[in-house]
Parts: sequence; structure tokens; C-alpha cells
Amino acid sequence: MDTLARTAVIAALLIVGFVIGFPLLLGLWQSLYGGLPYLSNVFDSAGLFKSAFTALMSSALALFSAVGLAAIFQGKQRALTWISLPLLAIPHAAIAQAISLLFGPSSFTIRLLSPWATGYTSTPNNWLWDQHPDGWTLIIVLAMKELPFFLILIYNLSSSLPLSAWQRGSTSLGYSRVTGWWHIVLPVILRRLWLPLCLVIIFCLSVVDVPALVGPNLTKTFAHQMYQNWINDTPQGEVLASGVLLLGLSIITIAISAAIFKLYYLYLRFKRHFVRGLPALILPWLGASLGLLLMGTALVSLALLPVQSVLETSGHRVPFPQIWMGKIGLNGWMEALKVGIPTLPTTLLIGALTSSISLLIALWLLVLEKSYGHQRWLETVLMIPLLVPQMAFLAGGAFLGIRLGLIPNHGILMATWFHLLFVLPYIFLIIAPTYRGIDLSFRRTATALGHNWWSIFFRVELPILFRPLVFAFAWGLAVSMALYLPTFFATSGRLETLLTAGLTQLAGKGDNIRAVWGLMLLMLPVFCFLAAYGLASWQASGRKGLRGG
Amino acid sequence: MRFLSLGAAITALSSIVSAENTDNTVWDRVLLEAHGQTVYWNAWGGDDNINDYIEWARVQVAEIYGVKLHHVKLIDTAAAIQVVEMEFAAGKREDGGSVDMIWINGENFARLKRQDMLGQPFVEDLPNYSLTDFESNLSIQQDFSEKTEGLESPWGLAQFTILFDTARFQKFPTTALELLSWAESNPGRFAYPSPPNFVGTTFIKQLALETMEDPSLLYSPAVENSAILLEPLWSYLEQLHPYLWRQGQAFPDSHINLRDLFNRDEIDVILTFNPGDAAALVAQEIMPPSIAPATFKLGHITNTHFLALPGNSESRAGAMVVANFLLSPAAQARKADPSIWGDTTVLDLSKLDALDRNLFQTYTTALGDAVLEPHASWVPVLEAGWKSKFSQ
Repeated sequence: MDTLARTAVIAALLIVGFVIGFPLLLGLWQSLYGGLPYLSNVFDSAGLFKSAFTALMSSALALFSAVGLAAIFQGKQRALTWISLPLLAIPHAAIAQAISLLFGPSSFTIRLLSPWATGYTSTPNNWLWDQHPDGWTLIIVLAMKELPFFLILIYNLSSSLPLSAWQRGSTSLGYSRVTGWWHIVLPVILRRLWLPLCLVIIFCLSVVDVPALVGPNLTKTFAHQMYQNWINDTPQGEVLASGVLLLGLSIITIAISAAIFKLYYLYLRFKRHFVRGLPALILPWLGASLGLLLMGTALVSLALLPVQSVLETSGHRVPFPQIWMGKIGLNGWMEALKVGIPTLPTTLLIGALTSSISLLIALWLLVLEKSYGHQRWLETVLMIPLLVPQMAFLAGGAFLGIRLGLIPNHGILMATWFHLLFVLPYIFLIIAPTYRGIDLSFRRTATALGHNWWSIFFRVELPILFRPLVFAFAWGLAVSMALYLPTFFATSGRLETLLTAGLTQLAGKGDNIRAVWGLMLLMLPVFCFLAAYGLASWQASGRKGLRGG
Repeated sequence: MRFLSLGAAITALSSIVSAENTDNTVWDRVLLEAHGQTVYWNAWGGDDNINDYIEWARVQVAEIYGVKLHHVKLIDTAAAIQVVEMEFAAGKREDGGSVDMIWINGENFARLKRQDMLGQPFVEDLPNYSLTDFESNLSIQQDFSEKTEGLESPWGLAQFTILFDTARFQKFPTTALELLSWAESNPGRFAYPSPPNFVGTTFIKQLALETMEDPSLLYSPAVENSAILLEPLWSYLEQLHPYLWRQGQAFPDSHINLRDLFNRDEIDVILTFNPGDAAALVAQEIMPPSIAPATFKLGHITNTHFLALPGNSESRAGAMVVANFLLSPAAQARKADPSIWGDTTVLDLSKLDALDRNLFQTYTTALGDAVLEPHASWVPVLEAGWKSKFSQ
């Protein structure tokens, strides 16, 4: 058994090392080697500052709103989850699309309000709210997407904490539920949200499709600038150097947020008693209001997409402030479906393969962890692909694939491999807390009842894990469906997924077609999440201890 | 006689294969080798009409030549360049390439040529190449001042122009100064995509040609202090920007976005590199019929777009057959049809027989006076200058 276990550990090492470490190290090495000489050419303080500013602001806004909502709506998380899950599953590009359609100076909404309420008789010329040059639109869109991520994580974390005991304690001391949560639960939860917060910050630093839709597009964020340069013939050395700079910026930004966290905990240590003052009273409500505003705006803008998708805009101009030219039709849908439907089998196959393999690897690692203790480094290695800008190592991975003769003739295999880099970390993050939280006494009891290891795993542990497992699977599908560059590099562009087909279609097509693509990109993942939710509820319905949560 | 063995379809479509001028045995060998080959053609996929045209070509080359054509739809051509560079770096220099043909021009071509990634010259082997004006058309011999040297086959002509809405304006600006006063009297209604978008860069090139004291300098390589020569351009743009869409605080990312902004009644212009767009966008029901191109007194920056074959392709013969097919009068005429695409032909109509010439009769786009592309080395100077002036 011991040698078997050791073999399993070594195999896990090899798999994680090969699947993740190899392309990563090779890619990073290539970036450093090829990029360092060009660092000074691409240094752009304005873009770097804008990136750090938007990433920190959006992450802070999302986190603040999420904890506010969690504090105010204790025990009513179910409703919030219902709203959060679809928002979580929707690709960033779809929300950005919806927001830019809602907030544009020539948008549906402004037209409805003009000129009677706004005074505009032609499209306002100084309007900046759909792509604010200082990045505020970007901050808001990113916060809309990250808020549900934090909210679900808080929800999952809360279920592993003795919340009701803590609440009884604080209530008996005379604190309200909200103040009690803010003072007792928040510090514990924030500590555990540190890694997800890093992921969110890095994501915001390297995201490209959102700023492409909602700006800022004069002084662009650094990653957006880098992408623009990449598709506009900048020498490869400079692109690689930009990747290195982005990596440096990531480290600095993470350090800044770490310092802010440190200050918060220092403050807690030196503050001997709960402050009954204003902050603990106002902050949760402020956060919750912002959160509701963000989610509400996101939902309203998304709800307008179907309307927009049937207002035919092509072939004529719609004079401001007229709302439409009297043409309603499904042409946009016809065009988009013609392109989109043939890509569904590939999209789903790659997504399902990636999610299944990720689930297996994550479970395997967690099982090993139970016997050999928490391997922090392993978790860190898993997270690296999310902590390093994609562009910095994808080229290296593709290089490797070409060398091995896998690109371009084994597209599905390569795409699955590349997607794994991005899906596995999230899946691990979702199921790890629950698996680690499984009471060891279950296993002891079951062993005493004569069950062997496998039988306990399948009959006790898996049912407990069912809910996070199906969510992780759906999340994996959603992440995989939203990957553009990894898909492109893995297949030399030969395999088309819904997203790659959609992105080539988005520009210049008229608002109706853009709305259709926004909807197409969000329907599949939302459907997966709702299915997962239904499945989890159905499975839990027969098991008293798993209900609610 | 050999042609007949490849199928009766060829005789039916004799206009497609005009092989009189070239050595038949060489081309016959290419045709034989091409039969059954699979060709991955990497081409920008952002336009449904172009995609449909390529789909038509796919069916044609399969029927006529037995070549299996796949369109790899790109968001931008540079992605395919990256793939080829990566393959060469990974040691796939002779074979094993995944890109058989690229729709290309300018800096992308220069980049592959410079690195010797395009194999041997091939265009003179294409029977239909002789139908182009290759002897005297500078934009076929040179691609942004880079000699093509037989490494890319011409496919279509591009010319920079600005489309205006005739429903609102009867007189369009013809010079940079007129454009400035037009913008001043119509604040917010003009926009151009920010460089490095190639249409945005071309717009400022066109202005540079007009504002510089000695524009001929743009045709020799840019040197260390060339940036100083662009001062008149920057001061012109500083005057123009406050009157742009969003007062110059935001710029569209791509020239394609201008169509949306126009239809949403935010702007009154469309910048384009396809003079046929005025007719084509109307015929394809993308834009209203009231758009029409402006004519510049100076002339319009003009270039050619091409098809190049990476040297590590294993389907070179197949790709050559496709490139030749795309140069055929039938394929070029279909491409020039505004209801299909509206891209100007590279064929020299005087070299065609009467029957073939008739195919083009209704779709010849009146090109404005042509101005050649400045030397490619000016592009980074212009782009860096623009960025430091306006986007910091």
C-alpha cells in the first residue's frame, strides 16, 4: 500500500509537472529570453498605471459589494445564488457587449429618453460613459463579473464555519446580526479570499476582450495595448517583452493588495473592542447597495439583448433619437446560427473533456492530500497559469506542441491540454474546500462498519461532493468556452469553437448581430449552470444533511 | 489533352484556365500533384461576404481540381504569421507547416520574407498571373516598397478613401484643410480608428503626405530623426482632434466599427481601404444607399493585397492551384461584383478576351488617382509618434 501510494504521488507530480509545468516553464523562458532586450521599447507608464488602477479598483469594488451583500442578506443566500450563478457563467464579452449597448450615446436607452428628458437632439458628442477614458466603464463591467464569483465563494466558505454559534455570541453581546458578521465573520472569510482575490486581480490585469468593448481606448490598459500591438505586426521580441512587463506589473499589483490586507489585519489587532461607530453600520449597507446596483444593471442590460437582437439595424441608419426603423426580424439570428451551430460539437467536446479530466486530477490530488498532508506548493503550481499572463506562455506551449508533432493534426487533444491549464485551477479551487471539510469521522465510522476505501469514497465522499462537483463541471465548461488564445494556438486556428467563431463575427455587424452573439455566448454556459443547479438540488433532495448548505 | 483527363468541368469553365502563355508541362505537373491535396488558407474571417466568397471558391476548386480547401478564419493576419514563425522556430522549416496559404500584404509579408519563410518564387508559374498588369503596376511589383519577387500572388486592389453620407452633405472635403473645416462645422461627426489599426495608420499617412514640407522623404527609409519631419502632421491633428467623435477622448479600435457608429447616427463618415465599399456595402445591405466616396486632390494611397505560401507547407501545389484559380477572370469578376464582395480586380482588362472582359463590365470601380504607399519603415515612426502625442 505504501509503495502504491508513493507511486500515486510520483505520478501526480509527473502529471502536474508535465501538463502544467512543462509548457509554462518553456513559455516563460522563451518570453524572458526573447523579451528582455526589448523591455525599454515597450515600457509604457501610462498604460501600466491604468492597468493597475482598473484591476485594483474593480477587484476592490467587487469584493466590497460581495461582503456587503453577504453581511446584509445572511441566510437568504439562496436567492442571491440564483442571480449570481448565471452572471458567473456569462462570458465577460457578453456583459461588456450588453453594457456598451445600454450606455452608448446612441443607445436604445438614451434614445428613449431623448430629447424630452436629456435635451439631446443629436447624439451627444462629449459622452464617455460607455467607454470612459479613465477606465470607469471597464471597472464597472469587471466588478459585475467578479462580484458573483466572490459571493459564491463566500457562500461556500460560510458553510464550513460555525456561523450560528458565532452569531449567538455576538448577539448576546448586543450586536446586530450585520455588525456581528462584519466584525467576526469578515476577517476570517477575507483571509481565505486572498488567493481568489489574486486570481481576480491578475485576470483584470490581463483581460483583453472587455476593454476592447468598453474602453478605455485612448490610453489603453497595458494588456489591451499589448494585444493590439500583437495583431498589428509588432516584432515578436516586443510582444514577449510586454508579457514580461505584464508579469512584473502583476507582481507589483498583488504586492499592493497584500499590503492593504496587512494593514486591515494590523488594524484589527490594535483595535481592542468593536467600534460601535459608523463604519460597521454604514459599510455593509453601502457595499450591499453597490452590489445590488451592479447586479441589477447587469441584469437589465442583459435583458435588453433579446430586444436588441430582433431590431434590424443593418442597411440603414437610424436617425437619432428615433428608436427603430420599423424592421423587426430574425435575420441576425439566422446569420449567427448558421455560423455558430456547426461549432457546437467541437465546443462541447473540448469543454467536457477538459472538465472531466480536471475533475479527475483535482480529486486525485485531494485524495493524496488526505493521506500525505496539504501540499501547498502543488496548489501554487496549479494556480500559476491563472497568475501569469496567457500570452507569456501560450507561445511556448504551442512551440512544444509543434515540436512533438501534435500541432496542427491533433487539435482536440492540444486544445484540451491548453484548456486544462486554465480550467483545472478553478475546478480545484471549487471542490477543495468541501473535500477538505469532509469530517474524517465519516471515514472512520464507515471503516468500522466494514467498508473498504473505494466503497467509502463512492458511497460517502462522492455524494457529499456531488454539489461542488457538478458546479465545478459546469464552471469548467464555461471557462473552456470562453478561451480564445489557447484554442487558437493549440490548433493553429483550424478548430473553431463558438467563441472563436463569434469573435471573428463581432465587429462591424450591426447592433442586432452583436446582441445575438452576446446571447449565444451566454446561453450555453447559463444552461449548463442551471442544469448543474437542478441536478444538485435533485441529488440533495433525498439527503437531509446536504440540503440548503 | 491532359486537362481533359482531369474532368470535363475544365472545358466547360475554360475561362478559368487560361494557360496559353506558360509552360504547360510545369503547370500540368502542379495540377496533378495538387489533386487530392488539402489546403489550409488562413484569411481574415470578419466579413460574411468575403467568407461566402471563399466558400464559393472552396466548392469550385474541389470540383474542378480536386483540391480540398479549408478557410481558417482569422481575427487578424498577424496570428497566422505568429504560427508560421513558431513552426520555423520549432524546426519545421521544410514541411509540417499548418498554414498553406495566407491572405497578406505590407508588413506581414515583409516580416515573412525577411525571415526567408516563403519558399521559392511561384507566381510566374501561375498561368493567370500573365493576365495581371505585372509589367507596369508598381503596387504588384512592390508591397509597401518591399519587392514582391514572385513570392506572393496579387489578389485584389485596395485604395484608401472616405465615404460620406450624400443625404446630409453635397460637397465632400478634398484636401486636409477642407477636412478640418468640415470637422469644425460638424463637431463630433468625424472619427478615425486609432493607429496601429491599418486604416487609421493609412489615414495619418495620407495626411502626412499632404502636410509634410517634402513628402518625397516618405518614400525613402525613415532615419533616426525622421520623427521631426512629422511635426506639421501632429499640429494638424491637434487642431482636428477636438472636433472628432467624443472630442478625441476615445477612438474606435477598428475601421469596421465605423459602420456601426455610422448606422447608429453617431458619425457621418466611413474610412475604408476598399473603394468598392461604397457600392458593395449598399448592395450587401450593410449601409444605406446614400454613401459615396470622397475624392482627394492629392490622390489616394493605393496598395495590392496578395496570397503568399509559407515555405513549410506540404500542399504547395494545391495552394498554387487555388491562387491561380483566384486570379482567373471568372473568380476575379465574381469578387468585383458589389453584391458579392466588391473588391477591385488586379487583372489588366486589356489583356482579357472580349468574353472575359464582359464579365467585368458592370463592376469596374472607378479608382481615384493612385499614390503609392510610403516606405514600410515609416509605419513604426508614425505609430509611435501618434501614441506619444495623443494617448499618454
